[in-house]
Amino acid sequence: MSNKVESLTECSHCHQPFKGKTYSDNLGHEFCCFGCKVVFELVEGESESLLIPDLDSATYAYLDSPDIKAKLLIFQNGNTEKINIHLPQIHCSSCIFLLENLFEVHQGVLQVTVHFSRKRAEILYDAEKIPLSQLAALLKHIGYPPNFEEQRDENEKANKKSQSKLLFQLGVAGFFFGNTMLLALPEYLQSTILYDRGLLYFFRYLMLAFSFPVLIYSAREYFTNSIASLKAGVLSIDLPISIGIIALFAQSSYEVLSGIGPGYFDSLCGLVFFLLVGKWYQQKTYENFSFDKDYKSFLPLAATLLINKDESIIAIENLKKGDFIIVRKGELIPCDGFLISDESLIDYSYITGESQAVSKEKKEQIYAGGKIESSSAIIEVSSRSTQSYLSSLWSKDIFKKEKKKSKTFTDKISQYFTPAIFVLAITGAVAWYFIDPQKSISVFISVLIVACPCALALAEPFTSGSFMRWFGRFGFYLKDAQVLQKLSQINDVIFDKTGTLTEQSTVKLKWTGKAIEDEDLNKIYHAAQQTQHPLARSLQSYIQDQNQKEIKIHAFQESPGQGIYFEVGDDQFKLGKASFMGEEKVFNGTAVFVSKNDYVLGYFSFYHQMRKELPEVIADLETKFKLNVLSGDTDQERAQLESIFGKNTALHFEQEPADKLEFIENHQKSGDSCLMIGDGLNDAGALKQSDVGISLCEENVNYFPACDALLKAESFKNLPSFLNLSLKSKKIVHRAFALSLAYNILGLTFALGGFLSPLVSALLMPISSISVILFTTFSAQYLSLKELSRKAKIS
Amino acid sequence: MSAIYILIIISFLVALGFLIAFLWSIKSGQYDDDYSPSVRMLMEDQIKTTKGSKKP
Repeated sequence: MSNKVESLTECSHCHQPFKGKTYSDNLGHEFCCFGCKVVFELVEGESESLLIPDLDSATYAYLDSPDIKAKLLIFQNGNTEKINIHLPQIHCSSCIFLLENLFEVHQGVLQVTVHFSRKRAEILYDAEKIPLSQLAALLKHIGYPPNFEEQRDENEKANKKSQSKLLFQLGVAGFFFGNTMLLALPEYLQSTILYDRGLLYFFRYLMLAFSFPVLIYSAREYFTNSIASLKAGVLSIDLPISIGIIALFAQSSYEVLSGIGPGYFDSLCGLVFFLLVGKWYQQKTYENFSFDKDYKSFLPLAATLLINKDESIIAIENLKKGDFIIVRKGELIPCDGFLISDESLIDYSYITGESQAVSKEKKEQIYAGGKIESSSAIIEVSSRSTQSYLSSLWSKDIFKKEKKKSKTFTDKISQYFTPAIFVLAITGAVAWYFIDPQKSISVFISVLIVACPCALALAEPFTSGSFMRWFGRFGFYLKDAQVLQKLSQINDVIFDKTGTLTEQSTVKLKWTGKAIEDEDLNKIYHAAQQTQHPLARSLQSYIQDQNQKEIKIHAFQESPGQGIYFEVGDDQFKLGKASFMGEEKVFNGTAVFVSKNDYVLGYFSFYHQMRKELPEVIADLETKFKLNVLSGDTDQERAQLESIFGKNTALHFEQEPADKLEFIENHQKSGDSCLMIGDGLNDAGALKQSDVGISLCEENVNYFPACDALLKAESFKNLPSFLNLSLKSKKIVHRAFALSLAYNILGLTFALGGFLSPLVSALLMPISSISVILFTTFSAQYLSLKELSRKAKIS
Repeated sequence: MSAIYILIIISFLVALGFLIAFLWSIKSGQYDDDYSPSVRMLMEDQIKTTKGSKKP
C-alpha cells in the first residue's frame, strides 16, 4: 500500500481532491469515502453498499471486557449504551450523512450525532444487538476506524467551559451596550429636542442600572486579573483597563446621582464589549487537534494476555513483567519486551517518523509504540507500559513544567503605560488646582477615563487572531496566540531528518554494481512477489516501471532475517543481506544485495527521497536563520544533505531523543531562540524543549507528538513565508499601537484641557477601537495573501 | 408622554427575552459545531436499501 503511486484523485460525489485509499464502484467512479459512495448510489437509485456482510470483530474483542468498557462509555442503562468516539476519518458532508443514518445499516444502532469539527460521533446503541466490538468493526468496515486511544480529554472540557463563559459575558455586554447607547442618544441631541425632565432622569437611572451587569459580570476578569498581577508585582494591561472602567463608573454614577449630567455609561459598556470581542477573536482553537498529549494516547487500551494458550483481555495498566502477550497484525505494541515468536516486522513510524518497517528476530528487544506488520507476534513483557522507553520520553522533567510564557508586547508597554497615566493625571489635577480648583478632580478622573487603553489592548489579539486564521487556511495550525509571538523571535531553526526533510511515504532505490540485465531484474521482481518483506515490496515497485514478463520461479526459499534464494532455469539467485551472500558488509545503510550463481552482482541501496521543495525552502531560510539538522540515522545521506544545506549548516547524525533535547537546551543557554521541526514521537522531548515546536504531518493527523504548532506536509514549502509573516505581524502590532496611542494623546488633550464630555468620549472610544480592529485585520489579510498566494502560484 | 415609560420597560423586557434565548443557545451547544447542522437538515428522513425494507 505505502508504495502505491499516490496522486490526487477527485471524488465523483463531493468533488474534493483526495489521496490514498479509494472506494470505487463498477462504473469507474472513484470516491473519497464510503459515505460519498453510498450517497452517490442513493442519488442514482438504490445502494448496494449498505448491505454489510458479517464482520469479524476479533481485533476489537477487547472492547467487550467490562473494565475497558467502563472507561469508554459515557452512559449505560441496561443494554442501552452511549459512547463518544473519535473518528479521525470524518471529512465531508457524506460522512455525516452516512454516520447519522447508521441505524438504517444496523438495527442495533439507535442514534448517532456527529460533531464535525471535533471529528467525533456520539453513538447510542443496543449492546444486545450490536456489542461495542461489533460496532467498532462496523465503523471500520465503512471506513471510519475508531480511535479509542485518544479518549475524553479533560483539557477539552475545561477549554469548552471557558469558551462558553466568554460568549456569555460577550452576550451580556453586547446587549447592555446596545440598550445604553439608545438611552444615551437623546442626551446628545438635548439642545434640539424639547426634553421632558422626568424622562431625562428615568433614562439616566436606567443606564446606571444597565451598567451593573456589565461591570460585575462581563468585566469581572479584568478586575481579578489586575489584582492577581499586582500581587505578582507586574503591571499588566488589565490594570489601566480596570482603573479606566472604575473611573468611568464612579464619575458616571456621581453625575447621575447628583443630577449634573448623563455620565459615560455608553462608553463604559462599549469599552467592555470591544475588549471582550478582542478576547474572543484571539481564542481561535483547532478543536480536532489536541496539542497536548502524553504517551497514553499513543498506546492501545488493552492487550491480549496469553496464559497456557488461553487468551484473555487485559487493560495495559495491569500488565506485569514476565507476562506473555499476543500482538496481532496492525496492532500496536503496548509495552517494551522481548520477541518470543519468530521474526516479525515492526513499523516504528509513530516513534521515529521512519516508515520503512524494521525486522526483528526472536529474542530481540522491542519497544512500545511499534506496529506489527507481519502476522501476529508473541511478546514477553519486560517492563510495564508506564516504564517503557516510549513513556520515558515523556517522563522527563521538561514535560512536567509548562513552557514559560514570554512577555507580550502589550505587557511590556503597559509597564510604562500605567505609571505614565498616573503622573499625567496628577500633574493635570495639580495644574488645574491653581487655575480652577473645582475642575481639578474631574480632570483627574477624565484623564483616567480617556487613557483607558482599550484600543491598545485590542491591537495584539486582533493581529494574532487574524494571522492564526490565515495560517490555518494554508495548513499551519498554531496552538495559541503566544506561539505566533514566539515565532517572530526565532533565530535558530532545527530540523529532524527522517520524515521531516524526507518524504514519509516514498523510499528511493539505487542500484550499485555491475550493469544488471533487464531479464534478471524481471526475475528479481517475480521472486520479490513471493515474500512479504517490506524491502521486497519497495524493490517490486521500483522494478515495476521497467518490464514485466511471466517467469517461472522454482526452489524458492526464504531465510527469515537473511534473504531469499530462488532458481530460474539453471541460474541460482540470492537476494538479501551481505552476510547472506557470504560477503563483507560494505554498505553503511539499508541495502539488498543480489548474487547470481554465487557471484555478487551488486546491491540496491534504499534512501529517502528529500522533499522536492526542500532546496528552495533551505535557500530561503539560510539567509535569515542558523540551521541545524538532527538525525537519528547513520550519516549515509550526509553528502546529499550537504549539497542542499551548504557548509554553514551543522549536521548531526545518530542522535538519540535525549541528545536532541540536550542540543536544544544548550543552544537556548547561549541565548538562542529555537524552532524545532520534527514529526515522530522521538522528537517529543525536543519539540517540548524548543521555544516553538512544530510537528510536521502527512494526511494522517492523529499521530503527532505534543507540540506548539502543526504543519501539514504539503505546506512545508510555505515555512519561510510563515516565519516571515510572523515577523511582519510584530510590525503590524507596533503600528496599531502607534495608532491607538495617537487616539489616546488626542483624548488626553481633551481631558487635560478640561473639555472631556460624554459625547467626546462616546465618539472617541468606538472610533479608536474600530479603526484599530480594521487596521490589524486588513493588514493581516493583505500581507498573508500577498505572501502565501504568490507562493501558491509559483509552485 | 407617560406611555413611553411603559413602552420602554416592555421593549426592554422583550429584548431581555432575546438575550436569554441567546445565552440558552450557547448553553445548549449550538455554537459548538457549526457545520454538521447545515448538512443534517438536508438529509432525507428515510434512505432506501436494496433489502426494500420499508420502515413504518
